[in-house]
Amino acid sequence: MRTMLRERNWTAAAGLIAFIAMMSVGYYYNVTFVQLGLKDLGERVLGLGAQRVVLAMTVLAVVTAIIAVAFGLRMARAGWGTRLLVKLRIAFAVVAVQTVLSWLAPHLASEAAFLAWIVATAVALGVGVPVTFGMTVDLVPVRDRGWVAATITGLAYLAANLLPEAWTIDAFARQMAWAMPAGTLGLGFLAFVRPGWLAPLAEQHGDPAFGRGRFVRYDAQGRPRRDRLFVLLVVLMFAIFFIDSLGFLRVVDTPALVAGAWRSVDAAPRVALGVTHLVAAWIGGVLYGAFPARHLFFWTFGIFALVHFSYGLADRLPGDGSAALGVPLLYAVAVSLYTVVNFAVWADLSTPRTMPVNAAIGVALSGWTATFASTAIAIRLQAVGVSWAEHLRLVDALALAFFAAMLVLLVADGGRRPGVRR
Amino acid sequence: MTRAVAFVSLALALSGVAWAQGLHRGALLLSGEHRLGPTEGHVLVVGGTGVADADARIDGVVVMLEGALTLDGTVAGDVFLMGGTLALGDEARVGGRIVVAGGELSASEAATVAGGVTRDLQLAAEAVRPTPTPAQRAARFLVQTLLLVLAAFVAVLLVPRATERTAEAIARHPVVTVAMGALAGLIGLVLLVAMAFTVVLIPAALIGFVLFGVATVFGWLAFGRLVGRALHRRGVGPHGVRAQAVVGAVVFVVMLHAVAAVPWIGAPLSLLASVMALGAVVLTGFGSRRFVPDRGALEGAREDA
Repeated sequence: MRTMLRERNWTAAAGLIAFIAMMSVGYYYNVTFVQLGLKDLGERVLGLGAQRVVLAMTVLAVVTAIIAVAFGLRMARAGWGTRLLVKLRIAFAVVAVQTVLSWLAPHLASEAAFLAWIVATAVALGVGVPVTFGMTVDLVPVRDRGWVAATITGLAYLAANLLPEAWTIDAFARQMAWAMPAGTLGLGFLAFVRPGWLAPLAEQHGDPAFGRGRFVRYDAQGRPRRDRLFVLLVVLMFAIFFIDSLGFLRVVDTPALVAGAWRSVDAAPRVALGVTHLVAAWIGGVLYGAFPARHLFFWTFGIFALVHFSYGLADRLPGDGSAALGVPLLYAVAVSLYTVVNFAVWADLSTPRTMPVNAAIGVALSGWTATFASTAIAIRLQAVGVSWAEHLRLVDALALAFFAAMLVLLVADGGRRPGVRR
Repeated sequence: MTRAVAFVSLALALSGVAWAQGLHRGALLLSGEHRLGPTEGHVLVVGGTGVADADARIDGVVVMLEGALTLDGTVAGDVFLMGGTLALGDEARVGGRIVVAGGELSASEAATVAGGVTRDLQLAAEAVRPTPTPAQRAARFLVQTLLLVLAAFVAVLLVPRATERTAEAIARHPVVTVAMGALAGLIGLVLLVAMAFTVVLIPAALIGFVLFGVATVFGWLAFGRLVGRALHRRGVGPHGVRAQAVVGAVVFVVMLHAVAAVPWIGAPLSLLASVMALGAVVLTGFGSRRFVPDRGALEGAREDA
């Protein structure tokens, strides 16, 4: 960004800012409307039992993952990873569909309509992931990816903590009623009016400062190779998303924790959470740009495991309300750190050609599948009467097992040749 | 959050006091049932059940983290109730205050508490660490300055390269040091608190807090190196490296105290300096290696360009 400003390259700067805006709104849509809204829609609005909502979430996860990987492969085969205009047009279609879906959501009246809505939402998400993440290589220079990911994460979580008046599908739909049409119009303008300043942006992926991911390794013939680091990261990210959602869904159903934090009637705790997300995301962004891959993952994921292990502290601290906010604040730190990595790292493990597939596997397969699989399990455990304490023990055990597995994986993988960096 | 941190710090400090000063003549209740008396020093209850009959006398303080205590005897000092249940019988006499930060307190109307019952955590913290008088502040400043000067001299004598590398991290990568320091501080605190709650690891947690302090002071020494060098470059400081380190440490600690005294921005600025100091120490491993940000791919890109 500094280079852009120094060289007065306003076009590139505008592209970068537009990317941040698009991804922030997109992530806000995911964490509020889709994840929280879907649960409210199924359970409260339609009166479905927990088992039916679990089924719906499973459908959403599986369809999203399949569509994302399939569409990512299609994009890679067709060479769309290097064609910004094509990505903008597809993104326009995705956001247009999501606009209609968000308008429809509060009006659904039957389980069949709900399932159809879920499938349509999953298709839109699945297509959207490789397309929107794929624009990273066009619009975000490699050296700026840390702070850009931090800004996206921080803004989305700040808004998620400050804006929703209630965690209901109606409230989320009202917000989307103005955000989605604005996004559709903006993307439509870029995709179909094709202003002249778009052309240089579409060529930026050819510049190594944009198109050469920081962690990409090359084989002896100079071809980028699918590094073990990528596989390792997919596994670690899956585990993180899984454990996170498994714990979070029970946390948000625990009044003692939520009433003093995310759903506090007093704005101060929610502001504190939002600001904590911002600060932690900033820390994550700075460290992302400064650390080599292994150090980065160790810090990010190690802290994540530690924080999840500390959930149990809430039960041991006196119940005067301060502990109720302490755990969510810690949680905000851990989530922000790994979300920053998730927004930046797939592009840094990719070239423009491999980016759609890598993003699809990384974000959709590991992220979405893990999130909704664990959400479904959490609902199921709650339905069969597993207590909060037992649930906590399970999350604690998984977090510790994850930490131990991470150490083993990193040590085992550390002995391999890292490949040639060109 | 602040209250939680205050609570935990207080719990740790009190536990430390109880462990360090009175364990040999006091009682530590971990589990099971115990009868206290006839004379005890300090009493620390972290589990189990304790009973102090009318003839029992506790000369020190009582700290309760968990468990249950039925008190019918005399406590000369304060009672700190952090968790668990405390029941005062008809014959109970407390010479100091009862500070309630958690748990459940039930008291007979006939029980006597000379200092009254308070639920003010801040007050409880001040009870452990009272607000210093101006004379005490001045003495503390002098002692702190002298110790820092001594540490600066020893450091530059024994580990000159380590302080140099730490100083270099602060000077060349201030943003990264702030980020690292904030993260290490926050997560370290959580880790130590978690350790303290296992009870068994309280000594390790205390050692951890000491290490935190040592790391921060080491970072301050690095700041001192930078200040000393900057003064020398402006022609107002001494020439020798050791002399620069000593003068820099003095000027830095004076600056730190002066800044801390400024209303509103003073505390955040001095906290920022300590966070940077801690971050630089973590990044360089107490100065055992240089911190170089990962710029490999960027350099490759530049070469291509």
